[in-house]
Amino acid sequence: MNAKYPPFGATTRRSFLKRSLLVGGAAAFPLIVPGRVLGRDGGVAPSERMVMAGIGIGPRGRQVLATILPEKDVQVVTICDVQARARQTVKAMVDEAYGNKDCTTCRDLREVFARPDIDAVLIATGDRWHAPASAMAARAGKDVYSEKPCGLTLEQCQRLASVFDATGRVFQAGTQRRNVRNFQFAVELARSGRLGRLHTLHASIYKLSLIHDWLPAEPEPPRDEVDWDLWLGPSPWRPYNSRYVKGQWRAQYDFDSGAKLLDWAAHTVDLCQWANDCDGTAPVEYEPDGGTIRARYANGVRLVMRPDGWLNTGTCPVRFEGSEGWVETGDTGQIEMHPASLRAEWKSFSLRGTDATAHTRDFLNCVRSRALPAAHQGVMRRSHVACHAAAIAWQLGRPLRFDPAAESFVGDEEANRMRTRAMRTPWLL
Amino acid sequence: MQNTTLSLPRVSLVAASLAAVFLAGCQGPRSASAPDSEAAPLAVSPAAKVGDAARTAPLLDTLRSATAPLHDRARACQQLAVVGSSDAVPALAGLLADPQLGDYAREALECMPHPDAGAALREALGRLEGRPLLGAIHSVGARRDGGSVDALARLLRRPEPDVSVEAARALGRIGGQAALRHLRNRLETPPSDEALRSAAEACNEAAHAALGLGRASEARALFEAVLRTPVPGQPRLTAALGLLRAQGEGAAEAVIRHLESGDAASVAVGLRAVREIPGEALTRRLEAYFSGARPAVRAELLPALADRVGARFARTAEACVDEAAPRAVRLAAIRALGRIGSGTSVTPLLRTAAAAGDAEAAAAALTSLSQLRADGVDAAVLSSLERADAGLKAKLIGVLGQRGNAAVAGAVLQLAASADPAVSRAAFRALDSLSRPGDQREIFRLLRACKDDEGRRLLERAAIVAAMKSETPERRTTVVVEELAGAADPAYRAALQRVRDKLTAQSR
Repeated sequence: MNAKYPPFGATTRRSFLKRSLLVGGAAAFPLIVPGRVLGRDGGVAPSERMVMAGIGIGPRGRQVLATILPEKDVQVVTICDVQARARQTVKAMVDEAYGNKDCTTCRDLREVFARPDIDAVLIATGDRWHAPASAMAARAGKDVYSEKPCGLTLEQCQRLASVFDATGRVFQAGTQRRNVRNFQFAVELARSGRLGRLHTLHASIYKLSLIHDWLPAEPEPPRDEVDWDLWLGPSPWRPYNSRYVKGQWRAQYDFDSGAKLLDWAAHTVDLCQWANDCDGTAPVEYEPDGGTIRARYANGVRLVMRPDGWLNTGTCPVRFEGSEGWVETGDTGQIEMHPASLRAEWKSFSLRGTDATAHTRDFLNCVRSRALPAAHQGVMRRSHVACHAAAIAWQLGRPLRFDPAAESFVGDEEANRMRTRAMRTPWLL
Repeated sequence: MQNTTLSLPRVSLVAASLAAVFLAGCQGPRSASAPDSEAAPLAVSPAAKVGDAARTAPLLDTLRSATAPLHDRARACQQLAVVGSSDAVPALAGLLADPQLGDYAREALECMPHPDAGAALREALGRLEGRPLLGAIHSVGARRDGGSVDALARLLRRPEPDVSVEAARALGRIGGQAALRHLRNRLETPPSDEALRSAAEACNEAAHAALGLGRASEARALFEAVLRTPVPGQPRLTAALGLLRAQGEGAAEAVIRHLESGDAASVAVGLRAVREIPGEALTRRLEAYFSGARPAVRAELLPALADRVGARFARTAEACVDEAAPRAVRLAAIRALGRIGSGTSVTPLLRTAAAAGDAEAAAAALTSLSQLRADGVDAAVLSSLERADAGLKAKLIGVLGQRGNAAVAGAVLQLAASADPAVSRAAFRALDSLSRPGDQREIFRLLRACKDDEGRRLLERAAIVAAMKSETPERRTTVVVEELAGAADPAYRAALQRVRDKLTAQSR
């Protein structure tokens, strides 16, 4: 170290970095090394394991956690949730996986971030918490796997990316389809030119909806049972209703991202960006058309975000169309292609699009190697910016032009104001 | 590296149309379709005026009403955040201390580019307390309100930790000489560890923003100021990484010091810098350093250099695969070759895969062989099968399957008939990706002869894959239907039926 500056002092990283068998990070199509190869006999000494915490682990979070628990180079040590029932449910899941009762629980995520032994966190809260929790984690020296959508607003996604750029912490957005083979295969066809010159990309989205009404007020339960103030977090105050904490927050303006658009589009638009080699930009025009939003990139390629009219390939389908062919695939792993000559490349993919196994392994590898994972903050930022821009166009009900370099709308003050919202104190980004 | 952050719009008020649907909070519009033209740009519709009294007056009435429901007043604030103008400022400012509506009102002021909104927030810094004060501090920071610097400097010296921390953050976001002067003073004489940490974070944010705008020397000075303090943990790491970025190619020796430090966090900073900081001079220096570095450093640096340099680094990595190299370096090299290797990488990888004594290295070599993008790999793996024992043969067949090159399908089909169960099973699995439409009859011949459930399952999958590759969907079931017509054995018939049913389902 340069003697000019004091030493780093107590490190927050475990010494496993010095002794572990490092693997490389993401390439164009991430190459995943199974965790078992990292140990000579399949095991990794406790002192060399990554220590992780889970925050806000609900139904989707448990699916992701289920891919982390079997990994021999990771130890999940604590679960944080504002709901007591969730804390106990997930703790039981962790304890069963490890065959002990060592996993601790807590209600307040600040306790997690204050622990120097924790290297990384899985954040699977509701949308409203993803960005502030991830930023807090990074500032506390933790690497983050955050479920998507990663920010409630366009501006939150920008600031989140900036925090991870500045701190150098590893960030993986929960857009796991980047590490699922059938989607990788479809993207490879598009990028390699085997579909000819790309002209139209199709991204599936939910039927969009937006709710501003509040559910009827109910008495707040004891904080240890449900901490309503913490549940709200950065979202503005409203009275408690038990249905919110049971999942009925979706489509609520204050809790959901972009009128439900980002629920699927965080995945599907992300894949379209990748297919079009546009991970560093976003479309320049957006036009709502009922429940569909049509966009256009500066390179002329169109992006159509639509809820209907898909082949039967499962949820979250995408379709890439070029001058010489097209490919469509979804979460079942099934691939449909044209022209017939492409069928010689047909493959059978058994891993479902919702499976995060390879994606979490990618994250864990990058925690060790300090490489950027497949869905790092830069990729996340651009695809989420595109999604939020589309959602704003839909909400305003008119076409919008967008400057991807400035990440602002051209000549539309209302749209620009909608890029950001104030966050409730003390949860600020 | 993208460092831009959102700055609040400074555009003058422009006409903007308001979708009634947004104000009413209903579901999205039912609009007419635009003509679907590939070439024509979208037309931007005429915009109605932000601040149009016809739109904002009802919202202000709701906001000021003593009897309007709380929800309606909250919604009015949210809508004013988008369409409000200076006439809404007094009513909004009056709500900043409200425990339920304060954040809603603040959002409207924060989003409104009008100077009156900024003035209201600035004024509020002097009268609010508690969470409302924290919110106002944050909002002036989000607006990058240079006029708030003096007020923030006073708040920086408040005894309440959360107030001074938030004030520091706001100063960091605002940046500029005046704000940074206060922060640097704070760095030099912090009243507490928390104060030091918040000042360091704020300076880091300002420096990061400066770096993103191309002001490297300004960024460098700030990062160095942070590093001269004893602040530990992430703020220190952030400053260290930032300084390397600000130094650019000139950071070579500093990067090397990080890599050699023996401190895990410092090494992590160095590795990130290796991957990020561009420049051929830095690359050459790192490559020269690599060759003489101690093994622990080489093992960690190798993957990062492989990512940085790419295919040109393959020869260096191949040399590190030599069995005489330290084990950690060997393993790192073997894994890196899967990403950056070329045709010359095949021989050392095959040799490693075949060598006894290090199962982990052998497994890593097989993985890299399956990933290697180079000409001649499949042919080399095929030819190596002749010399391989059954165990290795099975693994190498697995590599061919993972590589997915249908040109080797014929050879793998022959191996599928092997008397050695490990070899035949491996071939069955590989056919899952390799089989071609013309292979169906041979696969069915193997299926007819197969007597165990696992083998049948694998061959059924291979048959499905082969059929699905048929160019004409109508012909996918032709061969299996013909086979069924002549199949007598019940187990074989059942297998064929499963294949037919799967193909039929896939074709719907």
